[in-house]
Amino acid sequence: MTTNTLKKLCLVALYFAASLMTGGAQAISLSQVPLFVGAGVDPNLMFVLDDSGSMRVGFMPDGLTSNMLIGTSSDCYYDSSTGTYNDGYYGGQFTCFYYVNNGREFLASSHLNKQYYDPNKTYSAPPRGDKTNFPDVSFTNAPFNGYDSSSTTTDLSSRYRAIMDDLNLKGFYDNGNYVSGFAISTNAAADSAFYYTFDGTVSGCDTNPYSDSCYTRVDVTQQSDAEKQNFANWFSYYRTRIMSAKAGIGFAFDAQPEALRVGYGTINTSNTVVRGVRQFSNVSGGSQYRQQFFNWLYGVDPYGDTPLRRSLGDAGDYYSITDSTGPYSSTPGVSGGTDYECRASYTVLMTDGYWNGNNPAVGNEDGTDGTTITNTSGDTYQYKAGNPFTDTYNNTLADVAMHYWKNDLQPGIDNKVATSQKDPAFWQHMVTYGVGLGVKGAVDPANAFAAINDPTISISWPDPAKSDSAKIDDLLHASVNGRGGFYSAGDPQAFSRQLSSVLAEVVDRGKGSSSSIAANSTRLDTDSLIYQGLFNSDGWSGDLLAYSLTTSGDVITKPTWSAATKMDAPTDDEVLQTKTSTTPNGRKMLVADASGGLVNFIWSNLDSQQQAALNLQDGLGADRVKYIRGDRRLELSQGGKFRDRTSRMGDIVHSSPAFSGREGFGYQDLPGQEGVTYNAYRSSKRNRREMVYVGANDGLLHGFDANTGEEVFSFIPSQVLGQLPDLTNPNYGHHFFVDGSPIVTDAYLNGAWKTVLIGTMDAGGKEIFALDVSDPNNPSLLWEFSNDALGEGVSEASVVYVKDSSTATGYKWLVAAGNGYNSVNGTASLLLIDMDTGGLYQNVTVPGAANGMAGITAISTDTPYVADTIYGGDLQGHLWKFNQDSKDVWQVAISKGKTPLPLMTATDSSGNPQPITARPDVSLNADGDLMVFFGTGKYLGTSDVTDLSEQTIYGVIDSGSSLVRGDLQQQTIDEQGSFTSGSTQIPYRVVSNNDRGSASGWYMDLISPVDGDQGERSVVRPVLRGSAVLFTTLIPSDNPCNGGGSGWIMALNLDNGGRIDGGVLDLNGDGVVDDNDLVKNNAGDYVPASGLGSEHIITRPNFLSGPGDVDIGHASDSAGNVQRFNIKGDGSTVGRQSWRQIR
Amino acid sequence: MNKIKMTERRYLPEKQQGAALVIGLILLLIMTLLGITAMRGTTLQERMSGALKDKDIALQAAESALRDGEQQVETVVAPDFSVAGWYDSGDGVTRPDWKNNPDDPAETGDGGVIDYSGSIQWKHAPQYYIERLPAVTEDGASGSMALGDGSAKEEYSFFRVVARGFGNNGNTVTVLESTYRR
Repeated sequence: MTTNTLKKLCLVALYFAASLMTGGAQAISLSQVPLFVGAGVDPNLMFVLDDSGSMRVGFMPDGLTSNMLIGTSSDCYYDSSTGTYNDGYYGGQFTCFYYVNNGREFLASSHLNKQYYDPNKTYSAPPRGDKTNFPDVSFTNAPFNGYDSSSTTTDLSSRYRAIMDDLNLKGFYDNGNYVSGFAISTNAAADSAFYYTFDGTVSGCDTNPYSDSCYTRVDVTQQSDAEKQNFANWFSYYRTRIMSAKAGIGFAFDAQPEALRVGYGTINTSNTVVRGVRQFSNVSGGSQYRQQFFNWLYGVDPYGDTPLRRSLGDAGDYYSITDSTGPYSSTPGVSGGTDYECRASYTVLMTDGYWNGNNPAVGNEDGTDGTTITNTSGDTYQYKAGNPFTDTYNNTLADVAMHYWKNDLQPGIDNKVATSQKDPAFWQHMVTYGVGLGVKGAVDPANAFAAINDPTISISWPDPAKSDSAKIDDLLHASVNGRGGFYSAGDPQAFSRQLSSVLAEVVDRGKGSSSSIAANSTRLDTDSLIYQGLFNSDGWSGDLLAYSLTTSGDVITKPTWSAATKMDAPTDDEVLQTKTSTTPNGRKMLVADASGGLVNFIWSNLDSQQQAALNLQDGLGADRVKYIRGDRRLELSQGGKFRDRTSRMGDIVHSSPAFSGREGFGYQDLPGQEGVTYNAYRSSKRNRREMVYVGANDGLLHGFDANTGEEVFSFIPSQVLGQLPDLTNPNYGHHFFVDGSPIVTDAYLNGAWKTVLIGTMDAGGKEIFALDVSDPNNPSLLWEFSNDALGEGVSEASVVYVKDSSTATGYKWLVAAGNGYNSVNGTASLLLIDMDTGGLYQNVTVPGAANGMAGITAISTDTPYVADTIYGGDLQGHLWKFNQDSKDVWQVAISKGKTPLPLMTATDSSGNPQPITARPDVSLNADGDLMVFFGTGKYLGTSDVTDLSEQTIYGVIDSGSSLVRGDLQQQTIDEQGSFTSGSTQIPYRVVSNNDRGSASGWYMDLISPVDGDQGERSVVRPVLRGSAVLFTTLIPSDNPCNGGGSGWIMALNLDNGGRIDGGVLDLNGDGVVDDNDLVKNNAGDYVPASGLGSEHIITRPNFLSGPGDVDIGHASDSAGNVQRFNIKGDGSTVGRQSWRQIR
Repeated sequence: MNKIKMTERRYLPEKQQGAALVIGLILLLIMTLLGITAMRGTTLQERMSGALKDKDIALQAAESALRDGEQQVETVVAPDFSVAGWYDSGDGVTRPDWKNNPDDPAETGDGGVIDYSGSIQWKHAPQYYIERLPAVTEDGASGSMALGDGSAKEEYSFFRVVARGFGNNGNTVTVLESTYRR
């Protein structure tokens, strides 16, 4: 057994050991969720249900009434020996109950009556709201009302009777039996359960489908048990409009996350609102707000008119409540909450009919311009009456919707509601969604909504007072005015689907991004793709999106591919298969076996230790393997035992994707055989599959085809194997798995060039692994490394070629990394791992306890591409320089006597040390001085969010001496303002431009001239581009409306940290950096801006060389957007370089 | 005396008459030769200037094609080497041999060429092909010096464009080459 094997076996158990080890007092807290998550502001949703009397009926659509009336009311009269029914009365016409002896068989067939039992549909028992469903109904003991546990029951095999309209039968007793909904009679007219099927081939049925001759009776008692069951469920849960609506609403809301505040009401309730918005959750031992919703829903008993206009107005009035218990408060219903200026409010108005009742007296709101609304960011908006919003009618439903849209419902708070193309309202307003059940208007909804942004479409609204159809158009009109959506479902199933899509639109949030963008090229081309990793904290799903770019570098909004979509497409059976050419939808999910090779992650391939780690106490290891492979049948909602997922793809938080294709790394310049053979290796990459790799917190490193998004393979590091059961736990609290950023580069191993992937875990654990991905279809494991010196929070490593006189070639390939935090000794060190064996090559520790080394940067100062100097910063504010002594042993480069000294000691103006948690970067200035750039600050644990200590960005010259703040030239952020470009305001900063003189570098304290100390820090690696160094800074925020915080891109002259002559930022975004990008400073001069603000936390930008002398930057932000900006290119001469005539 | 003189005189006019004819004939011959020579020179000069013009047409045609190729390099695509006229360094595909065989319209290499379609009616349309040169290492002075962090150190930024243009005479060819950086 090799050392490797031994190490491997230990890794499985290491997770448990690691959790014990970090218990020390000096442990550095690393948050296990993205720090800006949980800070979001959940939207309000007021659900208004139509409880008018028509909801009690058992037919749909309303048009059927004209054929239900036969002759006079006496035809509908039920004559029994024990009593008489009144006539059914609905929609201005006599209707009546239906029973088998008086014809009108179409009413008992789903062909025309969409409410009646359809043998082709499955009627599932609805959810109770507590993650269980109502029971399947007994055919012989079916409750009249399945939603009421005390309901009377009937035997459907003999006592079934279809009554289409019980509105006027409510409360009627027949022969001692309560008539409820579909009445069941004990008298002679009762029968066995039945339905009719339609036969369109019978002559005349195409023109008159109401004729009894078109229908054939089916006796349910003669059908299979499954069909009896289905019929019984329909009878108890679906047979009337209100019952099927309850089921549809129940299913739709049951699928919603807790990150939503739901209120509810019915249109016949005084003031409509039954309960105001509350968090859609059940607090253990506390308020059962979620359950309350379902209890209310299932208890609704319709009776009354359809006063929609008043009800929508009531919902709007509710959203206008301004006290601390109101709908904008963080504690609705309880005083003392905080009103958040970015909370969105929605009202979903559901109806089956045509409005009547109260006149709301709002006037012609959509025909009248609104007042001008502003906010503190300088946005202004005024509603201008126009197409497609305006009509000439007063007091319509659309006028009510417009009233609560165009007016600021919360004038006392700032206006920062997120806007969209459809809804530009940034003030607190009500968005109206209309959902119709079995009703239709004349105006095309798609057209009406398209008209909002397309002036060529003209919509003419009919007068709602004139016809019923126009009242449905008015509901659509209200949805357009309220910038929501409109759905009109012809049957209960479609209603449920459409309500679900409404809720999905409302809840589409919780997503974010915390990792950098990767691109498949360094230059903007027509086939350029950029890759963005995303997470969604609702259910911890994730995605990797590939976006195409326009020729000017803009991101095309619709992703070219989505990894989650691709992964969710195969069936549960398919994902359990191993991916081969015949099973392309299978998964190649790999894990190390005991011999250090890779095996497919299948239960039978695992050794006993691995199986034990997955079995826990319950022995469900084999199912866990299937669940991790993506078998959704094992999830709770599908009858399994494991956590519900929203996607097979897990969340991507800190792992930045890495592209691997045909790129070269310059190794042809290496000495020896390596350099000689590199060009041939480069050429051999020509036909290689292009890949993008990313780590996710579903326990996997994923390898996707960079052009199609197909998952080519995935890999489970041994150390996370033991943590995988956490993912299956229904009470899973998020933690990190494979959260580090993989790097992919070339290395010469065992006499041949290989492409290697080095993976890290970041806050997910203490392992570094290396895969050979030279053939992405058949990756192999090189090694997995763990060591006492290795801590957590290692976000990325480097592969370096260094001098080593002890080897035959005189050189050696190593993996270099800072050791991270919470290593066993709690010290900071430079870790060097032997690339060939995966063993520890050298661990260079620096002084200081409770410390940790962040990412490192290796450079070459002598032989090209041979690393001889490494820089890295630690938690105590020391930037260390490492080099090799005469025997090629790595050491701290600067020392006084035997005391190692850092290259730079970072302190703030009061002398407090400033932690370095990001990788430095290194470049030469124009004088040829080696300059190291780094920022300070920490954003690792929850306490860091509120830490306002002063942080700084630095550019220091490495001349071999140890530096302090006083050795550097100070630059300051002098001005901060807002640049107007078209209708947008772009925040900018102007910095000082002090001459560096003979100082050994520069520093700039991150103190805003407007807001002062606000905890601004720089926790990502700077970017070097031409003569500029770009720092990305982060300002955490307690205010959840800020999405966790904001940030700046600071583009500075790398030599002195000041301004760059002529400017570097394309502030107005016109594609060139010129005089139009200058800003007027306080002295009245036009100067270049050096800072570009973002309202969200932004990640390190990725740059593409663009057309002309412009570089295009893309940065992912904490709201999950891709931000795009331009900077000046590096100025290299492009165009024709030579010309000659050959003939 | 007179008689003798007269006799002598008698002879002379006869001789003079014959010489004039000969001289006239010679002069006529000279004139003819001169005329013919002048005519031949003019024709030659006409021919010479025609070839020059044709060569100029070929040069302009080749330059047009060359610039079109450079435009392609600058704006169009991520090189798709399966498209006719695009060659990658080291792909082993035979290029058109326009150095040795410039006027053969069929000389288009194994990877094809791209016709330049201007508004002029050409005898043969000008043609070009584009060859991507090996990736070059970006110098460290303007950018990160970091090694082994997975970022590509090279960029394909140089291209060679070779173009040929024909005169009105299919035998008049100009071949041009440029190196273009994007």
